[in-house]
Amino acid sequence: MTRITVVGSGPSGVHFAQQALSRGHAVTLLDVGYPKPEAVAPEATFDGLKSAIADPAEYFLGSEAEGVVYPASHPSYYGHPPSKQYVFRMPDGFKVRSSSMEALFSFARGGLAEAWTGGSYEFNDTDLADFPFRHADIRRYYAEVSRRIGIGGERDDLAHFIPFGAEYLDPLPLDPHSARLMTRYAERRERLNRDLGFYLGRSRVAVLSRDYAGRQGCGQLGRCLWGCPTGSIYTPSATLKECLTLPGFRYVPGMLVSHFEYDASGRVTRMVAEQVPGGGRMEFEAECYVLAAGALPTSKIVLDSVFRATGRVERLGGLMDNRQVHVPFLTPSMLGKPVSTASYQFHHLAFGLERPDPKEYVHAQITTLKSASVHPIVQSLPLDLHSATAIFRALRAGLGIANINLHDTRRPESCVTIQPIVGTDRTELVLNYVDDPSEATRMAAALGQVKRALGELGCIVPPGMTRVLPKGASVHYSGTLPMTATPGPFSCDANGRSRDFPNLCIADGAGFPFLPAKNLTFTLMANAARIADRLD
Amino acid sequence: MPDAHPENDLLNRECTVFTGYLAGRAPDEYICLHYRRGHARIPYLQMGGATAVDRAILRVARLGPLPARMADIYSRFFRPTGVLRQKLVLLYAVLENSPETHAWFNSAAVGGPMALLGGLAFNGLASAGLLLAGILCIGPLHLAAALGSGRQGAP
Repeated sequence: MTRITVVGSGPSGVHFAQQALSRGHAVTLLDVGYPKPEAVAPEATFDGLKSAIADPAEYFLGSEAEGVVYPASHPSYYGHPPSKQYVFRMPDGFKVRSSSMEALFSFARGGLAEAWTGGSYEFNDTDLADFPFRHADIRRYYAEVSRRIGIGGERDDLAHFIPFGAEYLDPLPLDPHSARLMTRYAERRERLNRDLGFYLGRSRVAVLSRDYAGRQGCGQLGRCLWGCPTGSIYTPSATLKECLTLPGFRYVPGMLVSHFEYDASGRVTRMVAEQVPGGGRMEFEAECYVLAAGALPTSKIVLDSVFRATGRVERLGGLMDNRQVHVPFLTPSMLGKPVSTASYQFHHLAFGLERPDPKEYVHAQITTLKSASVHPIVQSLPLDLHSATAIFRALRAGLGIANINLHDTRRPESCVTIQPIVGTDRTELVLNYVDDPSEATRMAAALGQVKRALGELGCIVPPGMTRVLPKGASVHYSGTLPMTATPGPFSCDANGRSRDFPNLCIADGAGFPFLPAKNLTFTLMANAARIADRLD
Repeated sequence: MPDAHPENDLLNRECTVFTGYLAGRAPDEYICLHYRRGHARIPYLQMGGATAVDRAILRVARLGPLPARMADIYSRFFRPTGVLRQKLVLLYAVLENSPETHAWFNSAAVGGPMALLGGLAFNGLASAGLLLAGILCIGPLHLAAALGSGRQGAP
């Protein structure tokens, strides 16, 4: 039995912990751990909630209307609902500076994945080409995580890019608009595959189509974005709850880990945290230490540790994040049909685009409009709000959005470092993301392909409404402490073991040497479980 | 009865006109309360208050539902992130989440293609006409206010 201290309760931290506990290790998990508020009226649908509770405007917009999405130079089709504010709450002791990316952080119990949309896609050998292991080495961990959390999926054309190795539950029933798109795809499949490299299938999502593992199946309430009140969409706090029932597990919330201390050989001797709130210093000793706080906080802990021990300000190159592009579309054949807001709100469909270089695979998820905050959408139309509402209501049943992800690569100039804050013993994290010079060309090519494919599916892409999201919006940060086959400073071996600090493991996205276009969260969980299995 | 706070009184009157424009009805106290509460955190107040141009557009918009619609379409093109659009978007967000008004905003228009196309054409033409009227009526005010521009933190 090894005594292990894990930092962070996000997808990597909890699945590392659960795997390590299953092997008989003792795990102490340190976390700031802002808790999720109690679900409001858990049986009510999206519309029902607006009549069922005393103050629906406060629930949906917040006590000071902070959930309103105002007209802006970089507008968004949706904002963070107040019910998810706990996910993005920052402790006073964590400072960040960046002019190059709009990074999001979470210190919530469960981390950023408390606000994810559940997309769960295995990486294939092309995606893993820069990793020091193959799909065969991680396949059983995908299966294990899928068994734990419940992922809906089907063996379909997405298998062209995405292995179907794990066990999947039946997916949710399609909404009428998604069903229409699938039917049209089936009619034109051969041509779309051959001429456009376009492959459509069911999203693989961590949402339950039936009661499973003590959680309730999706009740079609339409409240996904505001936080599933029945826990049907998997979030890491569910695994944390399971860990709390297992022997050998100790959860210590209210701890913001600032750094670790290490001896002359590089062995970590203790984790140092400050209490939140309060700021008192706490120390935690173990035999093995695991950083799973998310790529950026993990990087800060490593940088601060070196700075405190040596006075050196290091920089970690290779910061990655997926570029996301939102492409709204209209399916005219759906116009005039009713829309049920009591419906699973997120994506039912996903598609992949074949590219000449397979590593440049483009991945996207299609969300058809059901329940939604309407004001961010209508304000984007080139009309007064009265006419925009009338037109939006007329088009609503045919509206959808394709959320396109592009891959990213490690480049030394994209880096994180720290800056000491004068007059304190603190530092701030400094992000310097530099765009890939080839990205604009790749994006233009992908968007052309997507628009032609959507046209084949009977959809219209309105001109001028495609939005390139600012870097940081995908929240797929990774690459700063990569797993590599050959040793180098600030890198890890294939088992996530730091080459600088022999009893330290990096179990989160910081260890990824490449970021494919697919959502990375499923791989974060599977890889953390894989690393936990290789501790001995 | 007028509110004890003159600023609230002004916001209530504004809320009444704008609700008439956006929802075709008078606001209840719940809507006014959330409009006032949200207004205290509206972005332009944090950015130095309304400019002379914004105040000129607001004066027109407060005249009634139809001028509000004309000022809205004018702002959409010539002042897209200005004070009027911020106020209208705030109120829109309140209306789509209020017990008495949410149903309209959260539903789809159901019907045959001809009725839908007719509605689309009517609204498109109405918007175009109001934009033209806005350019003629508000454009000169905009120009005059811009020439003698100033900024002031009024609601």
